[in-house]
Amino acid sequence: MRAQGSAEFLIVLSCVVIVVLILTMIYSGQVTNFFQSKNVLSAKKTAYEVTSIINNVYLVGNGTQYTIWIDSNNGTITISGNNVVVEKNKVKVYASLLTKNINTTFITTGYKKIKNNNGLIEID
Amino acid sequence: MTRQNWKQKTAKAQIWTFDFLFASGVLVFLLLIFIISWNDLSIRWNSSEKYRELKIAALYAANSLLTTLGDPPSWEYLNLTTEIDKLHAIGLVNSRNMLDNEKLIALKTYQNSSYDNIKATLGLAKYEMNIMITDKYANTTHYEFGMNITKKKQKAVIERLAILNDSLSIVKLTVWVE
Repeated sequence: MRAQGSAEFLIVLSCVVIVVLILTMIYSGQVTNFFQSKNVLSAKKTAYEVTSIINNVYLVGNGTQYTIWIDSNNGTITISGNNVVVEKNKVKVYASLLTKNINTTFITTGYKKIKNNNGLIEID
Repeated sequence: MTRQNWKQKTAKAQIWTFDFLFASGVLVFLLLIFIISWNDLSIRWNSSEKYRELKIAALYAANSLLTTLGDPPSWEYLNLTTEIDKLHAIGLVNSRNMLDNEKLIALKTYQNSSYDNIKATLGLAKYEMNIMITDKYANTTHYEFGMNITKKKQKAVIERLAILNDSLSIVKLTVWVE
């Protein structure tokens, strides 16, 4: 009977180990998704912040100026056509602008002045 | 070993295995609930975030249409089929909220050939749109541009008042995901 007890225990233990392994695999996928979502969120926040400022500077009209701080945590910010593209940890996020008339295609780090000069959006 | 001792020993092992099995079952059940809830939450969150983006894009597009002349300001004289690269932004007014007939006619003219480019210029590349300009009672349609929304979709509708030919009009912009 002792031997039988051990066999039951081993069967149950194997079943539990298999189930826990499967759950761990699923959960590690969730964790990866969670970190991926964190990167997407951060890139989206930057993209929408930059887009919102450029759009408002364009909408308010000639002479409007706004200064923002861009640091390396914001990721790589480029302007392609009428899209702001933010790339951070292999995640790429696009946000649409209302104008394509912008004097630069790459926004570097530091304080950036965004100005509407007769419809042309100048970033320097 | 007496019979009683033997019984106690075997009973102990069985109880321990049963307890272990029961605890494992509870653990697995709780883990499953956690994973299912997590998935459900992330789906709901994604959906509301997408709708928020849609509403913001629609608001910006409506502002661009009714508060700016476009870029260049006389974009209505461009041939939007061949000179689309010269079109930087679209506005439908000649001053704030004063609709310009020529811009509206130009928009209507290029409805079929440049629909995608026009909505991309308005920051609505990911979406479909319809612009309808009616009288103030919404009885007569003066101009209509874009697609018709056919099925029940998640949409953002922005209605703004503007002046067309010295009369009050309603500009209705509908944006949705196809």
